[in-house]
This record gives sequence, structure tokens and C-alpha cells, in this order.
Amino acid sequence: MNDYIVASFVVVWFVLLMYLAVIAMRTAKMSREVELLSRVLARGATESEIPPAP
Amino acid sequence: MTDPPVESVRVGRGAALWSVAAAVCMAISVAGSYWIAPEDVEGPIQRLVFLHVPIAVVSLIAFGVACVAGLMYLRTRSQRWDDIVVVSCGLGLLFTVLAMITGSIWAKAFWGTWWSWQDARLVTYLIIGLIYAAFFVLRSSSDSGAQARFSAVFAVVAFASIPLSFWAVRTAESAIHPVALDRNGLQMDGPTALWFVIGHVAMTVVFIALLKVELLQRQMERRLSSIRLALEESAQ
Repeated sequence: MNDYIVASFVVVWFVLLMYLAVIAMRTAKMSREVELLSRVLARGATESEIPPAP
Repeated sequence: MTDPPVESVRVGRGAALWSVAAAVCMAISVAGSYWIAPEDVEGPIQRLVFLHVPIAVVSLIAFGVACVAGLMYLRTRSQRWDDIVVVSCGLGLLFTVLAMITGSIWAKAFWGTWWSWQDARLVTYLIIGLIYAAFFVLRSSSDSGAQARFSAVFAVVAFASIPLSFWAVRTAESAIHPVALDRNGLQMDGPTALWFVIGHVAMTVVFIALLKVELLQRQMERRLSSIRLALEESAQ
């Protein structure tokens, strides 16, 4: 009987953990994108500081 | 880089606080229902009530939240309400699946079968789950202009299935599913009722935490795509 109870708790915890893992992966993807965009912005700012050729 | 907007920081902190509260509440609820709560005539399998019933109740709360958010979207046309509709329906469906899995495990231990087509409560709950699964099919198949409107209308109309299911269960004579709460109140004694209520509070806090985190993510994704678009336009 105890096995059934443990199985239920394990299923619920496993599903919730998987859900959290998906959320964490999406957050990681967004942070990579933020990193990339900030590099693009920094490069754009550097290029605009270079004086035009005479 | 500029500092993040104050609103984002506030929402982010709120989501983090709710997540911590959810973890603490779940730990207390699981420990209490497994080790502390007293057993009744059903024996140890009755402990599943502290997990299965709160999950089922929270799934219905999630669909209720989606219904209210759908009405608010139709009134205000605000993107935030559309986000709440989608996330609530998704979480409601997740909790519905979990309630059916834990219910099936309980049924196998108590009735000796994983499922009973004779029980009105089980069948109507399955129908509710299928209705909300159809929500995502409809949303993904409708064009982006009408997507939010269709979703809001669906969330409002689909919620009617929940009181209908309750009415069907009350009028059906074939129900074998035990009832924890009826017209005479909660059908359990003091300490058991206490852990039953704690289970409901914990699961509700988990739902709010997941809702907050998902809403924050959707908000951030939208902000990121608008920045990406602005950068692409400025590059051209």
C-alpha cells in the first residue's frame, strides 16, 4: 500500500521538477539572447564613435 | 547597459518570493500528510487524499482564473490578461493530468482498477481535461490577430463545463468516488481536516508561484523580441 503513496508523491514531484527544468531552460535561452543583444549594442556604440574617413 | 525597469524588478522579486513560499509550503504539506496526519478507516492509502484532492481543486481554480482573465481581456484587450488566460489554462491542464494520475494510483490501490467508466466524477473530469486540451489546438490553429480573442471566449465558455460537471455528478446515481466535502461539510475529523486544508493552501501557492514565473517569462520574451526588432530596424 505504501508503494502506491510513494509512487504518487514521486510522480507529482517529478512532473513539477520537469516543469521547473523547462522554465529554467527558457530562462537560460533568454539570458543568452540578452548577452548577444548587449554585444550587438556595444559594437553598434563603438562603430558610431569612430570618426568618418576624410 | 541601463538598469532594468523598476516594474520588472518588482515582478521578478514577487515571483521569487512566491517560489520560495511554494517550496516551503509543499515541503510542510508533504511531510505532514505522509508522517504526521492520522490514518482513518481506509488505511495508509487515505494519505493520497492530501495530494490528489488539492491538485484537482487547484486545476479547477486555474480554469476559474482563466475564465475571469478571459472576461477581463474581452473588456480591456490588454495583452497581460491574454497571458493569464494561456498560462492558467496550461497550468490547469497540468494539474488535471496530475490529478488523474494520482487518482488512478489511488483507484488501483483501493478499487483494484486504474479507471472506472461507471463513475460520473471520473468521466466528467476527463471531459473537462479534454475540453481544455482543445484550447491549445484552437489557439495554435487560429491566426495571430484573432488568437487572443478566441482564447478569451473559449476560456469563458469552457468554464461552464465545470459547474455542469458538478451538477451531473450530484444527480448521477452511479458515483462510487468518495466525497470529502458535501452539504454537511468536510467529511473528516479535526487533525485530518487540518492537513487537508494545508494541502490545499500549499497547492494554491504552487499554482500562484508557477503562474507568476510563467507570466514574467512571457513578459521578458516579448520585451526581448521588441528589442531584437528595434535593433534589426536600426541596422537596415
